[in-house]
Amino acid sequence: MRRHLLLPALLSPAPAFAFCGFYVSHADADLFNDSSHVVLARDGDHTTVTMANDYHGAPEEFAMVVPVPTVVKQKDISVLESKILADLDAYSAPRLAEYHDPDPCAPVVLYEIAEADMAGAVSMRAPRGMVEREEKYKVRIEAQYDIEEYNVLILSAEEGEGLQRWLRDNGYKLPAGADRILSSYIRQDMRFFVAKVDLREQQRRGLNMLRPLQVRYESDKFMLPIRLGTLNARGKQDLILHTFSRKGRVELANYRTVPMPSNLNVPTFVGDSFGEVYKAMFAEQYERYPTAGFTEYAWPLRQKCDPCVGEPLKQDLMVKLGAPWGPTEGGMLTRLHVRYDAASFPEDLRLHETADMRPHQVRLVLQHPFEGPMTCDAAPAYKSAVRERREEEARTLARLTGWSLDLIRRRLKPLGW
Amino acid sequence: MSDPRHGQLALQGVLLALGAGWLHFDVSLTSVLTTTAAALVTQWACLRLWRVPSRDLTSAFVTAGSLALLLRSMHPWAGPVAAVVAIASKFLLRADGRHMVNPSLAGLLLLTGLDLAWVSPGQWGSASLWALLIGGGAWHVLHHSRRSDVPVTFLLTWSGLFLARALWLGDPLTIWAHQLRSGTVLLFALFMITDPRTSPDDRLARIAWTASVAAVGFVLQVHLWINAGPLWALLLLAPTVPLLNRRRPARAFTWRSVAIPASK
Repeated sequence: MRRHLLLPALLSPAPAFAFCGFYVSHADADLFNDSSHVVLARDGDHTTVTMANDYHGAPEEFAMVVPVPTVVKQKDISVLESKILADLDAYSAPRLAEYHDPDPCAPVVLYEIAEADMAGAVSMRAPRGMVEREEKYKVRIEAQYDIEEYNVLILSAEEGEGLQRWLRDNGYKLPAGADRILSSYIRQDMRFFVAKVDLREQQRRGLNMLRPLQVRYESDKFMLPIRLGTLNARGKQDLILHTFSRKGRVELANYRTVPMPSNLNVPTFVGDSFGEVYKAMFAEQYERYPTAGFTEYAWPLRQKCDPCVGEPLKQDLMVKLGAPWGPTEGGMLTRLHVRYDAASFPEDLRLHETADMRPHQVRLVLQHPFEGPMTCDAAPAYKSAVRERREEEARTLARLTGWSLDLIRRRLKPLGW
Repeated sequence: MSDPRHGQLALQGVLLALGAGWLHFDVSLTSVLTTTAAALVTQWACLRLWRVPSRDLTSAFVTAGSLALLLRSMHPWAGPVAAVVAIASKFLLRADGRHMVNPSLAGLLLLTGLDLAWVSPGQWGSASLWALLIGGGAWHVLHHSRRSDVPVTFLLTWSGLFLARALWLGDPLTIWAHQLRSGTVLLFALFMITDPRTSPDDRLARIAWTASVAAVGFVLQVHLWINAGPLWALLLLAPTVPLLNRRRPARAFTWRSVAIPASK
């Protein structure tokens, strides 16, 4: 029998959500963004970015500022249901495959698949009014839209300091040092996408959480701005970046990309604590490669998931995320996990579509020994093989997580014989 | 004095071992071996076919080493095909009795251009960067001083342009330092653009040409978002080398031990 479990809720207590700009607040709210979930679909120069964030403060105190390469038109901004990102997260999350040894004395093969469901909830919040004069700040409001429960501004500016003052004078609290980074983006000819929540609209729609925002544009810039986000985060942040590409696996062009270890057999107790194990495993890899991004999943869209966790990818979901070509036409879904702060990732993430279509996923394997009565001649050999196997599994887990081997041995489930 | 390319080969070996052993370079021993074999066979066949009286296979080893370090592909045949293209380009794309394009560059760009392979600019860790910088620097000092103006000019221009950009953008210099930590660019600067057969002979022309490669590479990489910009820049500027050599002739470079004679 085999069973596939999905790593519940990734690394943080809540599913990874949110973004690459920064939040600005009206009050001294507790600003904290330590994980974000971004989906980038790339079809030639046509880029679709979907951002969800894990903002925890009050909705009226939320706003986000994201640098974008062009003046985004109203038709190119949408609000998505949170479930879409949760579904994608579930589909590509690290997984556990569970197998049971058959009775060595009477081998029978049977299996069934069970899927753990992944609870997904986004928490995003919003701010309130602003906008007016722009002359003295040298800030230009390129566009102003109401998109469902969001008020969106597209700003361009001549200098970061002016933009910072404009935002502050319009009631936004900016982290220290924002002006320098804003200036850098201005000189790179970037515009600023500023979104806040229209509380009345949010209530009218009966929404109690912030839904992901999506922006579409044409640009040869295949990158993700992360610098602003490092300003108001405490310590390191986690970014889960999904990319859809027609060409192949996406990797970081200006940092190393390392595949997460996969297809390893680990002790069966991991089935009860997969979240804890993966957290330790990621921490261990991160310690080894602190300036690398990690490939957690890279799968050709045409190829069926194996093992599947969550719903298989539907064309409908891909269309919504900006990959209209659908699974039958090929392409690749990549999930990168980046843990970053300003010191280890000083530069924005520059991305690179490779021609790599080889599948990779984080998959750990639990192999349960047969524990029923065994009376045949094969039994002693089987038992000794199982003991050796358990020791090997313990060593693998120690290597993956950095845990002490003794501790792992103590946690091994006792054998029924 | 022995052929300086042996030193280059040894360094390539160290980098490959470091990369495959510790740094998750996406390269297998099989692909290194098949690439090398393809390079050697092609070199041997081309020497026969063009009736070149040389038996020198060193350059084929060097080309295979560069490909193994830089070319990444999911196809096991990509490395060998790139090696065949690389070596054959040396005999086919010629002007004034010399090959026009650095051989490994020709193989690399053809396969990446056709989306059959890619270059992973981010694959280098600190250890391999230092090995490359120290080993490559030492190699130039020991063996190759006559052409050290190329890596020096390239790296100064390249880092200068990035520094100017960082200052103009008001970015912290940590970003600049990070941008310079590219193994691909370093390998390119130390071993690819320095290929004496495909760079101008006259020193002044060579320095100006090298700075142009750096500048074009910078524009491609920073403004046009083409990864591995310097590689494409070198390809773009390769046709200017015979022109420069005609305008400003100087004694052509030959490797000390054996040079591949010009075909007629």
